Amino acid sequence: MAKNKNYLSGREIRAIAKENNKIMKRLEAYKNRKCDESEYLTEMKDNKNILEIDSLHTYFFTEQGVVKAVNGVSLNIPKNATVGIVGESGCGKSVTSMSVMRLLQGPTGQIYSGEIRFNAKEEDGSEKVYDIAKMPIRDIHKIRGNQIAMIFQEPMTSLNPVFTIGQQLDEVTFIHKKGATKEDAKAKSMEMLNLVGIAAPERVYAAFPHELSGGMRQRVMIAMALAADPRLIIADEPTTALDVTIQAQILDLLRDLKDKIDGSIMLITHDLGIIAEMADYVVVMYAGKVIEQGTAKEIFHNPMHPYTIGLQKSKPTLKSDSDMLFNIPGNVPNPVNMPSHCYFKERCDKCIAKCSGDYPGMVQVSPTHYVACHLYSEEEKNNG
Amino acid sequence: MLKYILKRLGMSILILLGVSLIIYFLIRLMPVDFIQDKINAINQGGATVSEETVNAMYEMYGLGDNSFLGILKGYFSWLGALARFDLGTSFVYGIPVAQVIFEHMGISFAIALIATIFEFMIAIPLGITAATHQYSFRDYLVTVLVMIGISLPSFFFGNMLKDFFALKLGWFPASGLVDATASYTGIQLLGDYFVHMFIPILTIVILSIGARMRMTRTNMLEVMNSDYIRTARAKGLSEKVVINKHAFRNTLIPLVTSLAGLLPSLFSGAIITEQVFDLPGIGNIALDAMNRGDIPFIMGYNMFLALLSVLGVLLADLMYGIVDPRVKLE
Amino acid sequence: MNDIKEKETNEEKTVQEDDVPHDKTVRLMSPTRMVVRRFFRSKLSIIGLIMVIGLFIFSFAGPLLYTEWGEIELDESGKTEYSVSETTYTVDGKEYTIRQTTEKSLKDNFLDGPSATHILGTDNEGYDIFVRLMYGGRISLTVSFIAVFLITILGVILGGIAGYFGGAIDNIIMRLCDILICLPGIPILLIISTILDASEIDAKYRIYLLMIYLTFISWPGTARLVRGQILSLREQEYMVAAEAMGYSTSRQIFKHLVPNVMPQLIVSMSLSLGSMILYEATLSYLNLGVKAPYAAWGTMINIISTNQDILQNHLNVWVPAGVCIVIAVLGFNFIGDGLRDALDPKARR
Repeated sequence: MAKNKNYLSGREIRAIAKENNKIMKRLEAYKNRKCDESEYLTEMKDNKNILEIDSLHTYFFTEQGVVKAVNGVSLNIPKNATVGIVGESGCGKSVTSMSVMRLLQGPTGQIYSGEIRFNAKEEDGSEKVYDIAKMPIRDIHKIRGNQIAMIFQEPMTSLNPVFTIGQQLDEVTFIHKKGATKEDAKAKSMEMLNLVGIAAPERVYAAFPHELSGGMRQRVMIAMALAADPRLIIADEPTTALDVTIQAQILDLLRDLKDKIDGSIMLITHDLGIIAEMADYVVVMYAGKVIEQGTAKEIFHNPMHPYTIGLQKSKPTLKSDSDMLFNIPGNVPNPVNMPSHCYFKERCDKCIAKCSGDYPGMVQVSPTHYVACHLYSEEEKNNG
Repeated sequence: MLKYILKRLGMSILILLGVSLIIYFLIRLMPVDFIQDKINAINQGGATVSEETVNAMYEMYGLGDNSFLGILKGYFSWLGALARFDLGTSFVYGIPVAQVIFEHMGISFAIALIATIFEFMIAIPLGITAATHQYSFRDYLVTVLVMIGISLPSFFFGNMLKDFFALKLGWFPASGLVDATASYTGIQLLGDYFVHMFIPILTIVILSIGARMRMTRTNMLEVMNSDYIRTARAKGLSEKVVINKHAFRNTLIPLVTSLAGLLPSLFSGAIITEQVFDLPGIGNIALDAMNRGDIPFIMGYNMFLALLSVLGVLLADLMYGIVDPRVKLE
Repeated sequence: MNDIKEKETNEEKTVQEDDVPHDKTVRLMSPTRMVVRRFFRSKLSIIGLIMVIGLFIFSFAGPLLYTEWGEIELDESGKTEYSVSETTYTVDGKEYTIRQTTEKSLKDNFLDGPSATHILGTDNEGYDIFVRLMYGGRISLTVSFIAVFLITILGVILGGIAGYFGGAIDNIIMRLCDILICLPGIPILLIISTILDASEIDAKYRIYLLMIYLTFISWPGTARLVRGQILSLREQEYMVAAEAMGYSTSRQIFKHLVPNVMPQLIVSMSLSLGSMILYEATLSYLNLGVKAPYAAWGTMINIISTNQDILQNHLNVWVPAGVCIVIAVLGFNFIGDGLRDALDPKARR
């Protein structure tokens, strides 16, 4: 085997595998355990929120080392609000949503630590708070689908090819409404198809997924997500795979729905334009961490983190005089071996001496606006 | 659809012509005096091959003229006879070949059918557990066991079972299809068939489970990693429903398709197993015919097998179109 | 998601090569090591490898080290057997016993049980079973390796031609594949064996001729694999891109074909090694392959189809040969399976 200093040696690989197996086994056992509900019941910090994520760590235990895809993310989703999560590919925004849904591909992908508190509404109207991160996988049906629903990035492959749209839609009602008859389910499905603006619901109801276009399929996915009246909808890049005109339609639809349904939306995207149109609050993620969060207004009119500023600049506009698009130089650090200092340091044009030190903590700049950057820490302000 | 089937049928006929040409040439490569020897041996052994039968064969196969053109001419006269649904007369049995095939097909079919049913009933659940518990102890255990099954030579394993269950323990008869010393009728006869067929079927099932289980496992794994399974989970379906309804229904597509591919093995008889247990199935008869030089039967039997496998391929494609809503045959 | 990550790691690699300082700490696993590691992680592949290597040593080095008996050397140390029969008569209420002793001289020491002289005993002719197992292994392993080698060459060439030229040539080769796939396997082998019988070919070589026939009917699988790969390569976007940039398509196809088709080819080769051994053994069992006095595993089991006494009472004559076949086939299957997992780029772990 070629000796290359960039490659891991056999001994290192074995050490990694041994360590990983130990941790994965423990986490898998924890995930599959049987336990009483009281073990994962908890309280919300703020009752106005529907979801509170608290220092969530989600790791992938790969052969080349532990990939810390989500590395201490904390964010809140208030009731009846749309929160946009923005960041470049691989920054951990999808993995965060998968952690909330507990859809991580085991045994490599695991929630390592942290809390995901969710305020669930029981059928009798009372509220119960679950810590999703602690829930054993066998109890996850309490929240999946009926409390939190998800719309995926790939409408083309996200529908089961061998069942009709009707069968797949009806199923949602059957699972979540006890004693629903076939007629009830169909009525609900038709209502949903109408809601998402499908012109010929009867025809679509009887169709197989491959007979529909991508936009239609995404509408069906949205209808499916809405069918159980969830409190929170996670939309993971819902328009990325669609062409531009369809994108606009789907976004319009989502915006309309926000007013019609009684719930929150967690919108994941790398497109700042979509965020600007849709979101009330914005969370900016970089390399598995939240670097800035605030209301949409604050983030767009007063971005503070150098990365957020860079992101805004790299958005193409017609007004811009230059014919070159702005880009942030450099690359994201390798997720296996994260540095201890700020992850953005090497790409940052506003570096100060302190940046080589510890990772910056969250600094509150307004009641709703937080940023993780040394530039805005107390001492810097005092110095400045 | 109809156009597609007709096109495929036309293609199948071409393939069959090719297959028959190869088989015919191979048979003609057997030296004529060798055949004559065999015929003499059969005549001495009690059964008689009448002069007319031999002459009819000479005419049908155009034996004697071993030049290339002669063989080709012989091939066309054989084809001509086939067009009149005439496969010739078996030397050993003295009756038309088609009739011999038909008479012995039943027993082979019964064994193969029962074995296939058990094979699917055992292999599919095994494949699903192995896939849903990938890399677990259960997965390894099932995989190792079925791999051993795949690796067993049928003649060795059949004889081992025969030695153990029939000769050592005496639970089952060692060979044959009926007890020659008793004259059973009705339900008793059926029971007698059953005890005779038990070990042969057990042999076939154990040997064939492996391939089917591996196929189920591979497909299941692929399906379990697909986006729509994630959607099904996100809907809030229990893992049981996700596996048994959403994943299984998709895994079923290749499994059902493979069912059509089994057509040849259902009717052609398991040559080795039938030989080991001395069952009068068509495979054993064919083996016997080769050893005794029953040319008309060999030719007819091989064409029968080729026809079955061509039909099997065609049927598999058609099944695919029926089971998978995405596939449109054109 | 995975794609994205992969792309990123690739980018990182190029960055590394340029020696950008901040990424110097990052090290990856080399692709070769990744495959080797995946292969050896499965205990089954290791067991398979041990089985196959063990059989190779046993078959090829065995006869050199253990020279007490040869492949067709009879043990002529036959002994004299005495058998005693007793008959009891009752005459006028008195019992008389008549003992009769028969003496039987035997030239060959046949059906001897396992002992120091014959580790696994002798067979019905008086040959040493242990030694014949080694020679049988030589035949099985050699024959299957030759056949698989030929199948691969023939399949790659014909599949390559079909996929590369397309059109009428492709059509002809593919229809030929259809025809060969529809040929009934064992029955045709029986016919060919009859032809070989009549033409009085040396018993030692007939198995090779039969394996050549097996090659002839087995190449379509490989050919289809290679052809399919070439056709899908033509559709790939990077091929279109290469063509647009003025590179010759043919060179590109061959450049990309090798790494694309190699993994599948290696897997199918190791799996067909197992099935070729089974074929060879079945032929020998039907007395169509290697014929006595030469040894093959199948031939050594053949005796039980006519001799019920050996089937029941002399397990040492036929069971070891069967076990050898199972070990060989299982070994190759384990290796093939391990390779398939190791070379699968989609593997999750």
